[in-house]
Amino acid sequence: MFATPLYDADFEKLYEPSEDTYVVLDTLEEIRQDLVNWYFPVNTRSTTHSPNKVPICVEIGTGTGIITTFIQKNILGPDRAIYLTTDVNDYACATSIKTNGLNKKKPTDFGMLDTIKCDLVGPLARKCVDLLVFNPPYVPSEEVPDIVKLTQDKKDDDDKINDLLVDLALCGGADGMETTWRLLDNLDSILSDTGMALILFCARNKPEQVVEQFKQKMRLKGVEWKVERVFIRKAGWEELTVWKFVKDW
Amino acid sequence: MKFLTTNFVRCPISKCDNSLKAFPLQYKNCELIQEELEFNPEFLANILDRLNWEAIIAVAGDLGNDSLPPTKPENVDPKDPENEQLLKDLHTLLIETQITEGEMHCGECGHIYYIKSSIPNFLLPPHLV
Ligand SMILES: C[S@@+](CC[C@H](N)C(=O)[O-])C[C@H]1O[C@@H](n2cnc3c(N)ncnc32)[C@H](O)[C@@H]1O
Ligand SMILES: [Zn+2]
Repeated sequence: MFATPLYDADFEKLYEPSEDTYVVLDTLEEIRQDLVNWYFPVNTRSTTHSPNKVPICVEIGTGTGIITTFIQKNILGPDRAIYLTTDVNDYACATSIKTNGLNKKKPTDFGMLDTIKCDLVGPLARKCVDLLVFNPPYVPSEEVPDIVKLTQDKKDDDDKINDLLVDLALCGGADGMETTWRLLDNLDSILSDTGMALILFCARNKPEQVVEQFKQKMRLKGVEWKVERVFIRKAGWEELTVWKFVKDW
Repeated sequence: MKFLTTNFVRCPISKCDNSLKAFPLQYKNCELIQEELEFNPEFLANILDRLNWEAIIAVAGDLGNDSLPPTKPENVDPKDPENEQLLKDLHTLLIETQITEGEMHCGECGHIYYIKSSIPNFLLPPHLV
């Protein structure tokens, strides 16, 4: 068992690590060896699978950043990958860097971690992401709060902004899937050819149906995918699952 | 924002998608700091593969550094002492240099993105979404 990374933040302003966060950490730990083999294959003679020497790992919607720090420390290693976190919440962006520092032995320990405030993967170059991790706002809700409000004048009301940020961490709109669908619809141009995405769903997202629809939509674009459930946890009435997406060549 | 990250970000506005002028962004009025980190020659030698060298040179130029080799160093052996200076320079530039405040201009649409307290902000205003 790897320890949960340390963190320290004001939870009125960002998402506090919760059951879903731990489901992602436990998934990573459980499939650790598969991830290592996928990104750093021992047999490099294979022509079908030759990943980038230094993978780029991107966590969308990083919150405290403990997932990325966990991957860096325990899964892929601090000096074998480039780590980027994103969030629409700049306090989350800043916290993800701070969390990383809190979990180092020395402040100068090597690590290439950076953060970007943006929608989903925002400005990242096409097909540059090798490992994408997303614990999305997945709760079904009437609507997804408008991110655009975050770009308007902030000074008017901090409480309102904090409420908006709390909603943005949770509310997924119809079936809780609106934000995740915006990602899935572009996944082919976000992931590198040897890229992988790990995405969390709750039962009300109807992940089995989503996966079928996703494959069909992608087939129309001429891209085949391998998608599998790699983790499931029932917690009370809630059922959380993590799904792995890779292109099928 | 670390210098290395500039090699992976472009203007996210959809009409700039296919423009060669939307990458790299042009860095202006930047304030820099150096953040000391352990030197890791293997990491640097390994990332050379995936760097867009012209973009590294362009951004270094924006920030007032014209000392990089004009073509990308190839097959750099991190254990060869001859490469140590090159890799140390790259370490200082790519890994230790942080842009704390500044502007990123898109050469295609002219939109300006800001870096504040080391965080680049790429959220788009309503009329550009
Ligand atoms: C369920 S929380 C997960 C936080 C953290 N990764 C964790 O597991 O504890 C969802 C996060 O996504 C962020 N978020 C919501 N919509 C986003 C979007 N369109 N782009 C990027 N981040 C987003 C929220 O601000 C929030 O931090
Ligand atoms: Zn542009």
